[in-house]
Amino acid sequence: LTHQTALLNDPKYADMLLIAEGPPNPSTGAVERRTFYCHKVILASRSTYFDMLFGSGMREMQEREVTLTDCHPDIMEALLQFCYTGECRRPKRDMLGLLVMADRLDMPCLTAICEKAVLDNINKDTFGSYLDVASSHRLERLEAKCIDYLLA
Amino acid sequence: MASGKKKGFKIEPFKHPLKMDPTYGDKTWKVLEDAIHEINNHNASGLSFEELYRNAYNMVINKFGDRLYNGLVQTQTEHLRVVAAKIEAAQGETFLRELKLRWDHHNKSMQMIRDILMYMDRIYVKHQNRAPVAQLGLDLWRDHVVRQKGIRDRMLSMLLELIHRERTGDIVDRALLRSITMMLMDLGANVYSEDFEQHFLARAAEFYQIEAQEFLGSCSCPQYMERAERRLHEEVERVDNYLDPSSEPKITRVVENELIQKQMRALAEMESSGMVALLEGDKYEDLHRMYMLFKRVDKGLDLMRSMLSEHLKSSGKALITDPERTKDPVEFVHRLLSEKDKYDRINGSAFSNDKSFQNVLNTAFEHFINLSARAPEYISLFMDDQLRKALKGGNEDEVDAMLDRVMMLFRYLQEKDVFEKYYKQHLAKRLLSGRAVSDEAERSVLVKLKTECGYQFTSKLESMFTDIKTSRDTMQEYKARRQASANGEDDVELAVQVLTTGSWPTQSSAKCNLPRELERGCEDFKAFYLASHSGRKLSWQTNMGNTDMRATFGEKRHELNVSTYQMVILLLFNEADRLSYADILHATSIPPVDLKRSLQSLACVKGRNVLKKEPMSKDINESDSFLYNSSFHSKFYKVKIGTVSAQKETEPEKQETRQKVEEDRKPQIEAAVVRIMKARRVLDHNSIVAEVTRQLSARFVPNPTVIKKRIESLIEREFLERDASDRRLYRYLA
Repeated sequence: LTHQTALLNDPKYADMLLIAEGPPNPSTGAVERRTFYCHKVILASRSTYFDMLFGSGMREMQEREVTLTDCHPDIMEALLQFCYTGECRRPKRDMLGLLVMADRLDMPCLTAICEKAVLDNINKDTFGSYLDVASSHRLERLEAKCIDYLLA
Repeated sequence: MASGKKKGFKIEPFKHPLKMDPTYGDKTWKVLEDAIHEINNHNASGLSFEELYRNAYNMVINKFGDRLYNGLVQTQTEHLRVVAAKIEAAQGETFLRELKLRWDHHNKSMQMIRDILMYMDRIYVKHQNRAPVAQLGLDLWRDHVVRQKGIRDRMLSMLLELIHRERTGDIVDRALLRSITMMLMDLGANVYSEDFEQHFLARAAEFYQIEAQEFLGSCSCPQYMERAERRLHEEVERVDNYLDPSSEPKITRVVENELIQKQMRALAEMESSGMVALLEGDKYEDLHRMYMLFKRVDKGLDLMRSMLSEHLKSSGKALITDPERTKDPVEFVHRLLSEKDKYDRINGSAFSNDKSFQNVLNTAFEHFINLSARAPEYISLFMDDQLRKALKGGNEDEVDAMLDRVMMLFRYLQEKDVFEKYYKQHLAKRLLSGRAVSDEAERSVLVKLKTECGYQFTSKLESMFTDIKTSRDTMQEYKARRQASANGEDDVELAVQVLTTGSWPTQSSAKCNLPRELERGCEDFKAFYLASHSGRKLSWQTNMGNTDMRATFGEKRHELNVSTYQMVILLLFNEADRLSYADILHATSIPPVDLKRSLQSLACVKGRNVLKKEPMSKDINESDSFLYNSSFHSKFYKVKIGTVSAQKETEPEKQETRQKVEEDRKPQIEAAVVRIMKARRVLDHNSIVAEVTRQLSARFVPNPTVIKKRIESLIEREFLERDASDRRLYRYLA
């Protein structure tokens, strides 16, 4: 794993570029954007989404870069960190964003880790947005827990 | 809207700005729909996977899942209608190819669509319990293509036509057939079965029904079976090549049913080439084929077994009742053995040593061997012949192997006690004939009989051997004593064998008049024997002895080996040259039957006729006269007259033996009844009969009437009594 950690964002053998764009800053309208050097084999092994994307027979198979327009670069960084190291060390407040992206890219391991972190962090500040995400992404456990919190 | 409220959240995890746009759903779907059209038209390489995936993802999380799913169904349905029309338009042979080609395209498209809609599959489909995209693709193809009126029937009839052509020898495109049947299987086992397999099986049944009639009309049974075997093989191969493996047992069953099951009787009973002909001709390969084929179908082996049994019983009966073949006992047993060998070989090489067939063989042999009342006697005679051969320097291993084989026939005998009786007689003759006996071979037979029937069966036979051995010792002692007190005037050398009464076959104890010289010797031995064995009684069995005597015919001297009776007769001619039958009978008091037989061998056998008879004839009459034949000549110095070797019994003798056997059975039956009643105390008649029959079956099959008589006799002697209330019950009286 340490070797793979060294590969994180290492251009030497990278066979693709991943470009993450965050949502525009509400006040400035600026879009945060960052590029990561990636290895298809590692991404495909962690995420069904990437696995299918690399074999889709569509444009992405020819081009060396993929842009995710709904992913804040910090989240992408955390996500790649997990892909290369198997670890996820992020503050609790990042976990919901990470959970949503892990779910979108079909990364079952990371989804489980994030969901657990989120479950342990329900409070009056968080439960509103948690409940929202839980219902749109059909995260049943999280949804139930939020409702419990609301009723308690 | 939760966003914006959370202070300190560095990352905004989600946004729903489009939610405000009422045309969001339609717009997004339009993008996806266009993409699906491109995919269907093989133009996917320009599309962006990420974009399509993201759009589908957003539709799902923004609750446009229904719109997405239903849109997909509609788009693909319309697309497949067009496809179906194109397939229908294909002419003749190209139809199946077109179908296959379009199917391959459809699969490829659906896989791409499934990939971009994966998020819908994971979230929406799961929660709404709808068919996943892959399955949806199959269902749509099934409903709008394969089961379209213009396609369904045409596809089926073309498939069946191709298969029919292959059955009749054409080469067909197996790969194409394979891809179509695999498509049907992919659409679901029920589609394969309803739209293809059941029609395929029905057509096969039709085909093979006609073929069976053709084969029956034009082939012999072995040819038919070869073809049936080939057909079965072909169908299995067909399944391997281009059908689903689940069809194998079904199509096999159809062929078995049409070609074998329905025709098996006609086949097995086919004149001059059916099962009987195969058995008679030792056609192992064909019989094996029949066995393997018939084994596949219900009651197939039953039919073979019953035909085998019937054939064997009737041919066995013919063998047993053929007067030509029953003349010579040894030949007769050889015939039985070769029949047994023949069928053992058939069972071994054609019926895979099937136990149930072995049982049929055993039952049939048992059945027909016991049809012959003489079988026990003949088997004993055969053994006698073999044992004599062993003595004459035959190969002991061969003799032993032969005896082993004849033991198999012995096993079939129901009346083992009759066999014992004859064996005892023949053994007695062998032991008493004065010549050496092949001890090893004799012992080996005893061991075999003992293993087969137990100690009881052979104990008397063994005591016969003991008698002979003891006699040898006694004679040595006697001779030594005689020599000690020798006075040199002996002209008779006496050899005595002391036999235990009961162990030996019952003898008529009529003693003939012995010449004086011999009488003296007998008295002398008697005195010697009784001196050491007081309290015993010796009686002389003159009918069993034999003698070497010297005789002069004119110039020539011969040594004659004769029986004791014959010796007694011949000695009379020392004093007279001519004697009448009555004279001889009077002088010797030999029983008339034995006397006639002895005279016959002295006077009527060419080359051994030391006496002349008047008038000349084959048979001895009471009015005949006998003369010393001074012109007797033989090229041998030693002449053996009359043989004591075992011969087949005459009819009256047979009756007598039979009677003796019946007498011997009585105490055995009684003993069995008493044994049973002692244990059970009270038992009804039928149970006693059944139990007695069971207990005695190793030796013979008792007749129920005889058992009844024995029970009555036991009641008379107060071993048993009838129950006072129930007449069918018997009680044991202690």
